[in-house]
Amino acid sequence: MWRRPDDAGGRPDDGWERLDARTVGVGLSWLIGPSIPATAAVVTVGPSARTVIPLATLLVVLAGIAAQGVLRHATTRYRVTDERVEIRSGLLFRRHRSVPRDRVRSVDATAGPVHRLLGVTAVRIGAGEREAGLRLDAVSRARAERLRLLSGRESATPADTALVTVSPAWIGFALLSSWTPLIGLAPFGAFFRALEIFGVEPAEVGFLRDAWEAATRLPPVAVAGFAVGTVLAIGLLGALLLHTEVWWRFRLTREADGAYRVRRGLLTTRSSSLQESRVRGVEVAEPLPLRWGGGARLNALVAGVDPDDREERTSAALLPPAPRRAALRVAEQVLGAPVLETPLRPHPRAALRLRVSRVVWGAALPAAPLAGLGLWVGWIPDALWLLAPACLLVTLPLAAGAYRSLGHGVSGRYLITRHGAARRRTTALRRDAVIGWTVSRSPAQRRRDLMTLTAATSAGTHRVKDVGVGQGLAFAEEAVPGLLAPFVAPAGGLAAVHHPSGGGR
Amino acid sequence: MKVNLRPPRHPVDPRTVRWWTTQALVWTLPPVLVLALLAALIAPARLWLFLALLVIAVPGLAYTLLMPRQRYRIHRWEITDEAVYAASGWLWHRWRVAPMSRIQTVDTLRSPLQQVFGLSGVKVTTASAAGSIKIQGLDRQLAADLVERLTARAQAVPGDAT
Repeated sequence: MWRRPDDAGGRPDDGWERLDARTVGVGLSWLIGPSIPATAAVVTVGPSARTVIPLATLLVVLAGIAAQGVLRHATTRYRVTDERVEIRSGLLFRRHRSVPRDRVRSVDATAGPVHRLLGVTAVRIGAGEREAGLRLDAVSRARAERLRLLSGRESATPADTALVTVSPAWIGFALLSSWTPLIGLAPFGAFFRALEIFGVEPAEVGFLRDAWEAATRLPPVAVAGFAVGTVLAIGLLGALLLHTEVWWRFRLTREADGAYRVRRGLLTTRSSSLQESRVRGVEVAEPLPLRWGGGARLNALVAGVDPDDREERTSAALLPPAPRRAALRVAEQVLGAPVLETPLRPHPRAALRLRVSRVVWGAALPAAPLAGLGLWVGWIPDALWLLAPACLLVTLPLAAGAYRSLGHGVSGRYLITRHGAARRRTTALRRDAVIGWTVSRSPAQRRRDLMTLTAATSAGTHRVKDVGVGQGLAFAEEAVPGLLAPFVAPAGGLAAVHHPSGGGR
Repeated sequence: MKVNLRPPRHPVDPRTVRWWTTQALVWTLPPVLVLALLAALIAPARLWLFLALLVIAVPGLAYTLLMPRQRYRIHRWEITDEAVYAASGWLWHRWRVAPMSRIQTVDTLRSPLQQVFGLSGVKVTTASAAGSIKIQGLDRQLAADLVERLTARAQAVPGDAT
């Protein structure tokens, strides 16, 4: 379907295309959009050095960004041949990047409000490299749709099947976002930052002074309650809006060409395609507030994508925050079997003792210096050291929860591992994706006959934490027969480090 | 029956003890010397400078004496027809295995300090997100032979290494 395939290293200038001309418009929107309200603000307040200088700085920065957009359009060329995707860009530092087509893992199309107004889309072609993939900002929608097919085998007949129907009730999970407090604080931070930029003292602002005076008259408990309530209310509202913007009209489909496709977004629309053959497993993540509400997130583990990388991880999301049952159902469809329903084997009690002793030491160590400070330094209250044991009220249940989370198992083609208290993660990973094991033992683990087994894959590393030594080695052998077995010997092996027993080849 | 990982067959070169000791001294000696010099020159602050010197020198000395020997006991390596197996660490121990079929590149590692002792390292890279397996502190000739052997072996085993 690419009309001009490059015939094996033929004419190098053949088939090169420019970005869409409307890219220039996207660049200019940076200049026009924010400068209108800013200018309006200056006009209403009245021009003075204090307001004009920041405004001018802002305009210069925005003009720079706009110029960059224009320059990008002028200098970027890309082409797709039967073998490769290539991009040339840059003015002074010319860059030529080329990715073989069979290395393309994912194609993401993102269109912000301005993009959508102009009818263009930014496309990111992920090739599983450490650095960000190839970016095309921006191409026409029709072009983006064709580029999307890069990640799959080309097949003309669209027979997509929807894997999930999102219930409107799931929006409730937005309220259980762990970001709520931060979102609630953000507008206050931004407001005071803006005052600082324009050189205004908070005390000069009328309503702030009134609020402060009212606060000093009221009892502190009421003021604290009001402050927490306000921040929470803003945070919850913000979380709800953010959720709506990100997950609006979420659709997960399996395309006829064997790719998973996720489409979502209210103002900024996103579409990501994941080639099925690149999917190495799934991860069910249950951060604490979400878990209290019986919710979970579901991400795909994709070859070449580090699941700990924030940006890449979001492009691998297979569901919005959803009921755990729904996440498991979709996981079952992706994995082809109810893998995550497998009962997991618990880890030895020693793993619990390890966790408890860790938090007890964590509380005991700062307690002594704090008590000393309380006695020596006059203005520090004597009872300050009590803060350290008070922390145990939170950390001990977390330690116990972390122990209960621990588990591992094997089900069909997959291995499963689970850990984490504040963010419990259950991972189902294809056994044939494991390309190496790491066994690590801290001094504390050696005392307790525990180890941490890490499966290395091209889709991140996945740990089986604090598993019993014999149990962990048996699991490694069950998951990937023959890889670790030649290096396992009857017990005493680790103790006899200086007298290696034979037995290798 | 209780089982355990057995140590890899081959120890690293005995010269690594001197190499690691030198490395430890490179980290610990300069602050100790500077503090000693200051303590000698600035009489009024001598007590405090001397205390600071002790705080650095005592753990530094322990580290310099204990770390290299302990490391030498733990660091070992082995290459079979199917896999590369390496142990490392001194307080935290790590055993790593990578199958031959998944090896992408094999490199030689040579830090300037390592070269002084005639040592060299081997770095085995797979597509794994866990990073490469490094076998440090081998005799230079042995490391070169290993790199050659591993490269040939990795190419001989089929598979696209991902």
